[in-house]
Amino acid sequence: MRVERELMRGAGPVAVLKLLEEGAKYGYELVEALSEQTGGVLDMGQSTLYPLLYNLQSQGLIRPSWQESDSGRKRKYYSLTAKGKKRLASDTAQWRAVATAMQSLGILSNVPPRLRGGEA
Amino acid sequence: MNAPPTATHHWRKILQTPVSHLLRGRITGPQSPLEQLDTASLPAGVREAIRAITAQLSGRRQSNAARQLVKSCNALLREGCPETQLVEQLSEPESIASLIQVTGNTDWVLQTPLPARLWPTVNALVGQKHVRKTAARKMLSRVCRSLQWQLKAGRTPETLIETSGEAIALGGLLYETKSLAPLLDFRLPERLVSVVLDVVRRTRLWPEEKLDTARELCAHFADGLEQGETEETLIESFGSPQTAARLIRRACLRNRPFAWRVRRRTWQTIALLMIAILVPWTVVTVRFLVAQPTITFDLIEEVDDLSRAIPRQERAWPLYLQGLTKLKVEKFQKYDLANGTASEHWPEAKTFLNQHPEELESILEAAKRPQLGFIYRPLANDLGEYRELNRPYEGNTADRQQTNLNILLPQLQDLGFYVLPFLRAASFLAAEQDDGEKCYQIFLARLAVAEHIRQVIDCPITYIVYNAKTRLIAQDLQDLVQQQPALFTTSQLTTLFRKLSATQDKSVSMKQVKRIFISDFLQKAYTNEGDGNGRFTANGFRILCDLANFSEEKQDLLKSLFLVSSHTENRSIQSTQDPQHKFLAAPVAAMIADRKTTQDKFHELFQLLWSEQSTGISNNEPAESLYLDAYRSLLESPANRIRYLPVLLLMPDKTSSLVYLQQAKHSVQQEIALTLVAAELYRREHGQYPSSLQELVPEYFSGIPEDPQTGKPLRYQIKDGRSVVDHPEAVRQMTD
Repeated sequence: MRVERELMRGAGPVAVLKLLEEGAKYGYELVEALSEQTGGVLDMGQSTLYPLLYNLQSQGLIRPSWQESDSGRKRKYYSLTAKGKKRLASDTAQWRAVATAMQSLGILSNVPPRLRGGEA
Repeated sequence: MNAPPTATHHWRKILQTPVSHLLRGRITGPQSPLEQLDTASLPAGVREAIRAITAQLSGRRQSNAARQLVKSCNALLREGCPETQLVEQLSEPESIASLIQVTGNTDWVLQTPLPARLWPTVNALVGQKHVRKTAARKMLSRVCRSLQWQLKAGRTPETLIETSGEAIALGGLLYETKSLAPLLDFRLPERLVSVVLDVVRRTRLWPEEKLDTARELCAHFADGLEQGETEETLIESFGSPQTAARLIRRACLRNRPFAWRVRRRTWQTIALLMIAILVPWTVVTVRFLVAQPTITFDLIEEVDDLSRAIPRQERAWPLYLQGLTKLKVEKFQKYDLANGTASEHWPEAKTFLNQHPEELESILEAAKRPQLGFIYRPLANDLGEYRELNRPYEGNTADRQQTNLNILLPQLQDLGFYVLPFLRAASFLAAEQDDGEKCYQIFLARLAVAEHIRQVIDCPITYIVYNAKTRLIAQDLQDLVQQQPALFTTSQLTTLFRKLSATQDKSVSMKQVKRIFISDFLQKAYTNEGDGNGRFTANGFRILCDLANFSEEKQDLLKSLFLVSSHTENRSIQSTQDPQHKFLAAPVAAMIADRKTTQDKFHELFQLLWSEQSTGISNNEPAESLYLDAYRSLLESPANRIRYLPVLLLMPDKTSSLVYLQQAKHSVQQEIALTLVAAELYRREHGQYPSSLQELVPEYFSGIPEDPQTGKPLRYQIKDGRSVVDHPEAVRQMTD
């Protein structure tokens, strides 16, 4: 299933913040994680991911840092800031409220549907 | 075809031989730059290496490169540099030549201690298309420095060559990010670097922002390759470079310092405001400047055509000029001729008059001619005798776009201020000498001159002067009749009375005044779009400035619309000089009403003014003038002040309108004088003065003489055996 652009615009930042909650990640790692963990539903091209990361950075929600990887090559890692953690908590609560409302309307069932990446 | 002669071939060879060879007595023909230099001290290997490089170049750059390389090699050899090292350094001639071509100099070739096998890589990085020489020099310096650091850090030239790959896209990135070393960490295929370059170039960010983006995208692709993805997959999953660049740019701009964002937003706002102002201003100004009036009639041309059609023997103006020539030289104003016998200088005036009988004769002769025949504007064919006889006045401009208010009337001044005062004094002298016939002839001449004044041009100012002059003649006649009853015969007096009575019926028509002022202004200030409507033109604006200069109040009105203080020292308005006028003329003109609306407003106000001038109401009770009320209501409304600016500037305001309002006063004075002359004629016929004005009807008047201001009969009575009219204006005014 492919998510509409407007819905993606709302879900993308909170998804990235959630992934960074586990620890600092670099761009490619985030792309992979988003694709795998959401079953491809929140799969976003790098042309969308990097601007999204820069936006979160401009809002002070994440912090970048260049670090050397195991291979000796440098990577830009993003980690959550205190402000980012607060925003994640706030956004999570809002998404839960939305999900509850959707369940109340019968749009969402208690058991989430199985998502299949790449399906239109 | 013939073969070129041997002599010609020889001369050509001489001409193509370098001067240095000729000075040594050698004719060698054209030589390569290197051969023209002194390379004797250079080893053959070095010379060949230099030749291999310069052979790739051409023209002036070739000779410059050869000279500089020879000079540098000589210097290095003198310092002890081994020949082999120099040859090694110059061993990539194609790349070196290409870099010389791009950077425009050769200093770096021997000064940069890079292994020669790196020159192709350097050339691939620096030698990009459409790069300026200064940028290429800076980039060459950066690349060389960066490669040196890499070598010092332990990397081998082979590794660097391999890392750089084809280096075409990397070179592009180098120019975009002004940095090389951080990008050498990623060994990416050319296609992936091209994607990075495409995105980075499109972002139009600062170099350090571009570098950060480029590094991150390169790292991303390197990670993808490490994970086993192919180039195609990575490029496909990346998405659109345009979208990425747009979004990255937007996000990076948000990350920039607050002060920069404020400055940017300020400039954007200013630019938008400028566009919002400049675009409409340009449109309005272009429309204003291209608008041209359509002139359908020219008053001067019409009058001149009539004057030119008058036979020579009927033109009075040449004779007036003969008489005036000497009178003007004498400056007879000092004798106060206009006051006649009441003048303090009357004895000197009489002497002056007796000394100029020829001038008097000339003027009396001119007065006998029926037409004035003055020509306002000379034409190209007004030549020779015709020009001398008629003396076309050259002060009037040939500019057909000026209003009729700018027409100069020198003849009106000459007749009113020289001829008539001279004749008036002459008539008093004749009366003093008891020469009734001569006095009669001079009175007839005065009336004829007044008629010539009326012929000046069919406009109000002419009739104002004409009425003032005929009123004075009537009053002078009345005075003489009372003081010297026997001076004129009854026949002479009757003739003068009839002629003076006839002058009362002459006045300018409203239609004519509208034509020469309103219609003329509209045709010169507005375009004509065929349906009688049109828009205001630049010429109209010039006319408005001229009109405003007629009074200080109108100057202030116009200046207030152009944001100019009304208290400036230089009051006159120059339409083409003041910067405010240049910039604001078009917007102000755009707010002025169109031709039809302006015409309607003109007619509305003119109708009020005309009717009030006819009755003299404005003169007596200016506070109740409907015309002035209407004028002021336009003036007091900010919107109407601009909309009807032409009306406000062309139509008289309170002060200037008083000039017109003298008409009613003149009419009363003339009516009184004629009534008293008629009473004298009645006395001569009946032996006594009429007991009432009724007795003068119908022999002398068609109706009982009335006060034109009130419309009531004049209050006539016989007092102390003389006829008198009881009226404030009956008091004699001697001034002319």
